[in-house]
Amino acid sequence: MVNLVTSDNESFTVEKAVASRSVLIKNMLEDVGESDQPIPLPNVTASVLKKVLEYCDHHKNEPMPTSEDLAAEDTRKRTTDIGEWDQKFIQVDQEMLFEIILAANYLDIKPLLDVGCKTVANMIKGKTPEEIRKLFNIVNDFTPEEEAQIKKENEWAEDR
Amino acid sequence: MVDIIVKRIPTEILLQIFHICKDCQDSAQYLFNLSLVCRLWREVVQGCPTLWSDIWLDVSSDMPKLERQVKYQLERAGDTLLSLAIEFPSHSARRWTEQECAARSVQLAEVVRGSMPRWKLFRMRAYLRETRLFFDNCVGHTPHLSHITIALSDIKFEAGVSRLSIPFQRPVGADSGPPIQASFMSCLPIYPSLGASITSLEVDVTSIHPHTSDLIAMLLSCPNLVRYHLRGGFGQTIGIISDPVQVPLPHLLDLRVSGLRDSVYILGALRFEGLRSLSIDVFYFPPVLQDILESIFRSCTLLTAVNINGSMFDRLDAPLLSGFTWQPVVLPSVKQFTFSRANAALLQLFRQLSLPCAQTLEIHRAPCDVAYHLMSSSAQLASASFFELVDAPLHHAPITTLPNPDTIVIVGSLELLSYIDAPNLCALSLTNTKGYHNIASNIRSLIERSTPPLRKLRLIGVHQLTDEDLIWCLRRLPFVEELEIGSSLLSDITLRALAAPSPPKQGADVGVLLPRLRSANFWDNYPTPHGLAALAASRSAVAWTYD
Repeated sequence: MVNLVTSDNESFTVEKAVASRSVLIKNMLEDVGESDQPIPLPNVTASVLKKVLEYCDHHKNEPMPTSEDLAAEDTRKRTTDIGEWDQKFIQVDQEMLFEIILAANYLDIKPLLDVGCKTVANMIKGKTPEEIRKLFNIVNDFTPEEEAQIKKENEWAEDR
Repeated sequence: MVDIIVKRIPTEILLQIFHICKDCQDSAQYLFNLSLVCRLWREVVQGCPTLWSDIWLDVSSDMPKLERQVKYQLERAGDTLLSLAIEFPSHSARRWTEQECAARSVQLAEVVRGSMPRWKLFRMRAYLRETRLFFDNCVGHTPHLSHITIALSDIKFEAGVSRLSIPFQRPVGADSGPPIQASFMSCLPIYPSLGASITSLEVDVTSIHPHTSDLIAMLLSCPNLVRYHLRGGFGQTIGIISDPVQVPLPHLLDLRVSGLRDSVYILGALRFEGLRSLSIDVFYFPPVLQDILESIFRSCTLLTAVNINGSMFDRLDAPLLSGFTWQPVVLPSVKQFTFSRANAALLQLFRQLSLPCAQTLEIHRAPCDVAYHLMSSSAQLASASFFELVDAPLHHAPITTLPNPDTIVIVGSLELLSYIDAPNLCALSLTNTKGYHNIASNIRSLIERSTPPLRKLRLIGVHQLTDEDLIWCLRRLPFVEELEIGSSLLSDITLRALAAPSPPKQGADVGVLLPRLRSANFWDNYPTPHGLAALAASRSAVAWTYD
């Protein structure tokens, strides 16, 4: 078993196979060898880690992506297809969605990061800039002049 | 709050999200939309060359706009390799004259020509005339090209065979570059210089009418093909050639031919020995196909997958060919052998085949003796499926022991069951469609002989199986987890046998029929609602489905 401690000082004791879905934790475990020392995760809160561990537990028996898999993924066209279980898993509020993405990136859990990115891509797809801003509560920090200039530059892309 | 988190997302993750968006859309409109969201997103989008490297040109736009788009994307894409897609609108969606259209093709070629050394992928959908004009004006080196796809639109407007000269070149003396995968629809490519780099060629000639000699000329220019897929219309012909020509394809591993009534003329011309996968899907089996297949089977000893599909019009009882050698043919490497609707001549050949390493055998519409012969020659079978089996006497055929099969599926005559011993069988699916009468004894004899550790059992159309037979079978199959029985005589008697004893006995599952059962589906049988309800109540751990 592995003991993980979150930024808000909560402890999680999980199977090694579950924790090792994170390449970061897997490398730490390999570096320190057999030890009862808790592993601090200063960038992840308890509520997010709980969710991440739910993902890791569900996928614990799947093969880890190899470096060849990752290289092939870079050259292949990406899709926004998400597995059935993962789709249900990632049905969370936006704040949690981005926290999961950040945690997956920090913990180096590539498949979970993919699920998060695909979910955001699906949310963006087909939306206008204004709709995207509204969706993610992003402030439009362009001046009207800048916006007009960008539109002029990209005239070729309009009205397609 | 979300705004703050979005700002915390590292650039590389934003880029990952944007790349996913890019791969899901043809238009560059999304890039424009993303870069208008906020300054940060604009910086990320503008600063990433690979986001701009897919140039999709919708030729229905004004020409100056297209020129600006190409210029803009090429600037942004930096030195990255490019994917270029050109799409002309259909005739009905055009607002220009033929002359204007021709002028557009020439202009477009001039606009993109300078970027040819960076092309990785080229895709074009247009009519023949404008495609030719484009290529006439787009001659140049494409050292990095790895994919080329040309689809000619609505070829019925055009006349004759659409030969298309592909003017792309590889620099002489330089590294030969990546192998090219080429796909053409409604045209036949001619490669003045690129042919030797093409390793995969897919040609759809359904809408054009090439002659065998056209196809041979095309293949002669691609001597390094590894994969060739020729797709024609069912019933379409390509014609005989007066002077037989041989097309050596020493590297060919995967050959697929579908459609074409007389595909034998092209098949007979090809020469290859290292073939791994053969798939022939034809409307009609001409007699000479038997000789061609026999020759392939004898010469291609590395063949691992064979798939031959015929039409429903071929007759099983057609007269056999005279002059057939009746020499056994061993396919030593075949792992997967599938055929459907062979004619009498091919069946004659299949009766001579031996498949010592086959793991998957799938046969559609064939007499039992052919199925029996192929099955008994395949000692390593893991999965055997027989559909539309037709009764045929198996005189003095010995019982064949299949030590490995995990799955057996039989649809049609179940006579074959009497000749199988499969002691390790895990899944058995039987569908009787022929009103066959010896089902009970066949199933009983298989179970008695093999005592298979079945986990899945499916019995459909087994009207001759009584409750007594069913219970007898189920009692000997204690490992079954999934059960389906449809169109049978099953009644409350079997349901009562399946029910858990009440009150439950000490020691779970003692005396329960199919103690490991997880799901059961009964349909078109004779149980009463009361019997079904009682069964479901007695074994709540099982998912019961009735129809």
